[in-house]
Amino acid sequence: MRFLHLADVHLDTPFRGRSRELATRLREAGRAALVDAVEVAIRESADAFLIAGDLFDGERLSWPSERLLVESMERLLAAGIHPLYATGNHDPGRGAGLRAGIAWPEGMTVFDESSPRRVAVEREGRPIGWVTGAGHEGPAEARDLSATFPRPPGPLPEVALLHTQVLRSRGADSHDRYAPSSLDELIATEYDYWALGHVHLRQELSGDPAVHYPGNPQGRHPGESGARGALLVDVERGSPARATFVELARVRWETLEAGDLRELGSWRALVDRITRRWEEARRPDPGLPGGEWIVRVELTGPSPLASELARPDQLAELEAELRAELGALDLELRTSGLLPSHRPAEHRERVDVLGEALRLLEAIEEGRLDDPAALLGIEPGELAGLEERDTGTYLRELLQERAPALMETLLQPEARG
Amino acid sequence: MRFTRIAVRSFGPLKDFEAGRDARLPGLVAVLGPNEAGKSTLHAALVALLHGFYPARRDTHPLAPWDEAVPELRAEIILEGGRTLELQRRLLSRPDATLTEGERVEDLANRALPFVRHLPHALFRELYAITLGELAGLEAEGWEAVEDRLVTGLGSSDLRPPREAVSELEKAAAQLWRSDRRSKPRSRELEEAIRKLRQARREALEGDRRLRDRHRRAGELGEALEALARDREALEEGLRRVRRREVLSERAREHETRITELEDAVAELAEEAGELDPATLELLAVEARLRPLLDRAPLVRERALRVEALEREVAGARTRLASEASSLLDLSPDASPEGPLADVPVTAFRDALDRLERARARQDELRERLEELAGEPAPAPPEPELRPRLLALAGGVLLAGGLLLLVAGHATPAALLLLAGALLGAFGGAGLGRARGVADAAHREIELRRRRTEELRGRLAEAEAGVRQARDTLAESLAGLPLRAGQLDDPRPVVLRELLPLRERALELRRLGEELGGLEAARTEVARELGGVVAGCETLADLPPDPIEALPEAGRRLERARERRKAAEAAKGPLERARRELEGARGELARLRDEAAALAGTGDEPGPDDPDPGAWTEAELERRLAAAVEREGALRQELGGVQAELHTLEAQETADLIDGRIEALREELGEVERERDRLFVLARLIGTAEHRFREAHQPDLLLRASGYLSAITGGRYTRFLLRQGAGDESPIALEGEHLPRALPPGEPLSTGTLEQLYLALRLAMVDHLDEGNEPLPLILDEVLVNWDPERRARGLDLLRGVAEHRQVFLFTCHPTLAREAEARGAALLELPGPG
Repeated sequence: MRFLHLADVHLDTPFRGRSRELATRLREAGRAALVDAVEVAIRESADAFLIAGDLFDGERLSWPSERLLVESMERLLAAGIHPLYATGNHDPGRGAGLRAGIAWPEGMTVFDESSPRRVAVEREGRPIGWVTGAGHEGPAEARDLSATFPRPPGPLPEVALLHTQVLRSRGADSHDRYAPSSLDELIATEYDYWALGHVHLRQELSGDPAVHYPGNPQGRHPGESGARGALLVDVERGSPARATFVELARVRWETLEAGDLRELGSWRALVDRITRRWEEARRPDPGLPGGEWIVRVELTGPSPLASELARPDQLAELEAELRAELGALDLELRTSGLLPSHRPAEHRERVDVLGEALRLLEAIEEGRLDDPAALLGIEPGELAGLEERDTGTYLRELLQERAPALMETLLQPEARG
Repeated sequence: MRFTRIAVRSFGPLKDFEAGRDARLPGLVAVLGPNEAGKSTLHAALVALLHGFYPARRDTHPLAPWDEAVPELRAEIILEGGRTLELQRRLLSRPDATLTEGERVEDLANRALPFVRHLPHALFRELYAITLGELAGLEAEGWEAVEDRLVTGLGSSDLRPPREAVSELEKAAAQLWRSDRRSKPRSRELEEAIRKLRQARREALEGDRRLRDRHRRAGELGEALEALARDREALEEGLRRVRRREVLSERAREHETRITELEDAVAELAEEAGELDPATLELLAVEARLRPLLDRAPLVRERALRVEALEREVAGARTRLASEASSLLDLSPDASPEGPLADVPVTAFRDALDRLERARARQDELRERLEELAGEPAPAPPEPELRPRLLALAGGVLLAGGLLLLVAGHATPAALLLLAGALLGAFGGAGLGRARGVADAAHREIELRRRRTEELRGRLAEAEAGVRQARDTLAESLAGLPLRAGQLDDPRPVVLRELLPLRERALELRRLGEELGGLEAARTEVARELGGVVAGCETLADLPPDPIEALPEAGRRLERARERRKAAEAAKGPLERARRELEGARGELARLRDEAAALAGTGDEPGPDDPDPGAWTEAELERRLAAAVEREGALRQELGGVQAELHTLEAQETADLIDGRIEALREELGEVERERDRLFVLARLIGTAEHRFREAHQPDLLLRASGYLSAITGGRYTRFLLRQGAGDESPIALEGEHLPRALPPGEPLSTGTLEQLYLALRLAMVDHLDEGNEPLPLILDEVLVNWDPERRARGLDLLRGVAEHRQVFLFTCHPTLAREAEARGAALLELPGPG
């Protein structure tokens, strides 16, 4: 039996793009990934198309996306491919929301109840394998749904389909803990292949029996970098499944570390450094032909360009230059970790206000002051972003590594060099 | 540091001022001069020597001369450590300056001296170069700087004033977030944008619901239109059937009429194409035999006419021939010459006749020539010639005479005679020759005539023999003709030639006879054949026996029979076609009736919603169709509206995009709030550091200022105090034994006392400001003028003490004050008046 294993499409994700155009482009890329996945399934003569939850991002599912979904499933059915979809925490099965109103085409299987069901996958009217699936009924499923999956009985390939957070899987910490399951328990069930969803990082949890997260087909934010797509799986009863990654993301997120900036005293040098690092990164991983990139460049540590890059207009100009240089769809320079090239230690012993302030700052950073807020005369109500946090902790966070900024503020311009 | 020598050239009213040339300037220097003597200029020159020219452009500097002279300042400086420096500054189009120490020359441009740079120019002017007016009341910036320096800096020349930094941070923080509702920081802009986006999100969700509703409605309308299209199609089909039925009925009626017509036509044609009568059949039976005869009938008729003509022609020709031949031939009255004439061998006759004529012509010619020859006269012998002979003789005589003369020696006459004799001899000889030739020719002519006569006679005899022979041949060729006697004895060619046309006529006559015979034979043959045909055909039995008469009639009868048969044949095709057409018309009529029957429907009375439109009347169908079209138009209009609305709705921003923007704005808001807090906390941190430092270090400065003040006032004011929580008031307070409590400086203190108080503070501050650096000169302009003599004396004493480690320039226009300073060791520089 051959099938395409897809998960976490998250259609209509609210992309926090830096512009409306970029957000629109990302949304289109997400839709295109689904369409491309359907194309791959048809081209590869798959028997089934498995969607392991979070097909769409929530109740905001728009009509165009819903129509695309239904049309995609209809295309699969027309090509003789059986779509099977298990709901996740973003698109749970219960309730009177949008999902309940979607008119899925006849012949498609939707697992929207927590009790597992076993459905035959047929080829030319004869069963060639079985898919057992269960879905999230609500948005915060806390039970281990895999525990209720029966042991597969027959001689045909057996596949399990579930949206679950396998404990200790890589990247699981960045996801809410819904429908948690144990890898050992999954392996013990003797399914030939566990088609999982929820964790967006592609990973093989087990080779035989196979337990896979395909990752999401289109990265949604800088944290979801790298190639994204689906798994094309060939499975036979009792033999190790063969899962082949199929890249689908037309827009990729990548984060680039610019490295030590202390010796880079000009824009040109900085641009050259970033360009070189980008080329080095792309050489072994060039991405899809015609694919686009959203690049985040992390500028951290002391830099002689820190004060220049603190100016929004200068920063935007440099971003535009780099965007053109790298041919990126978008490029963002992250400068929050950038520091002026000052050496606080050399000034900390001064007998003046700067020396006094640096010593005070160090004491707060190191937590040597019991109540920094009281010392600084700050009331919680005077802070804009305190929220529910402890004032002292918040102040320490705010002042972390601020000594260069303090020096930048107090030193005469000619003394900053 | 200390200025030990100063030179000023072309700077304000000072043209070539120089001080310290003879003796180096000490720590205390009193500058005395009346008004407009150049004290302020020297004051400015001292400041410019230390910090450079301000402004730095010659064309805008107030002390630059109007002429082309270059402002130039020179000074010798001794530092605390004893190093001696030479300084030169010039205000060219751009300032330049050099600082020389031994061999080392530093280009300063317009920069401050290296050991002055810890003090900004403005601050130096505020604290070190003090005029009376400045002393009386510090400008706000100066006072704040004083306070900053008082309470924080204390020699840290690389720091910005902390309150300036704090103010800047607080201002930047307030632009990001404020706890009150004043102004519109970035956080409020973001919150408003988020609020608007939330509203837009609600509208987008509503739009999406509307979009789904409109799609559903579009689907309903599409289905309704499809159903309506089916209904309309059925109605149109019904209408078409009704109309078709009418067409079919009309066509059926037409076919019925046509069938009747065709039946009549078939009957008529069938009769026409029926069997032939026996007479016609009999005629048609002999047609094959009769047709050649009929074909030959014109020829027979023509030949009959020809026979008649020939018979007449033969008779005439025979008569004419007999008549014409009668002169040549001897014929009996009943004898015909045509036979013998026709049998004359014409070639032989012609040849013989030609030969006879040629022989006779030759004979006649020869006879005529003989007669001509005989008739010519015979030639006579010629007479001898005398003249030539006489000439020859005379010539001989002359020749002889000439010879004699020659011999006699008479050459010339001899020659003449010889010449004449020769000429006469020659002429005579020639004449004799010609006479002898003529005689010879006459003899030859006579002989020739004789020979020719003999020859002609011989040839005549031969010709006469030829004539006889030719006549015999001719007679032989005409042997069969009964020629009249003597025709051959001397037959004349002309007469004999008449035989040739006669012979031709005879031959023609013979040919005509033969032709006539042939024609007769042919006619007989036709008559025989016709007889054979008639014998087998009763229909022709009444024909006359003469084929010339019988054949035309037989032909007419046969033609009638053929026409009859042709008409019958011709009727068969139309009959067949008419029958087929009739059959087709009957079939079509049946088909039309069947189709009409099929279209007729059930025939039941239709109800108002009868689903079988075929049963409705045309009017009903048309009414219903019009209603369906109208309804379809309405639905299409509504669908168009729905689709337009869909187009608009689909172009609207969707909730996911708005959510993304809200998230982005919230993220930015969080960053803005965090950045604001960071700036706010940094400001507080600096403020706290300032406060802590102030607490730790301020007493020293105030203690020093208090000492100066106490010295000036003779202990009346004892010390300065730092006031905590002074708010907008001065942080400085003044304490004195006569005062009930520490009071801020100001009213009700006298002007002089306030000036003393500020001078004490400045002295303390400058001590702090350049502590660890070169102590810079203090330049005081009339600062003691409002002091009473006692306090002025104390002040001068104090300045004398200060001048031990810091050079003090004391400017005044009061000679008394200058002398008092001079009395305390000051060098006195006197400036001449403007005079």
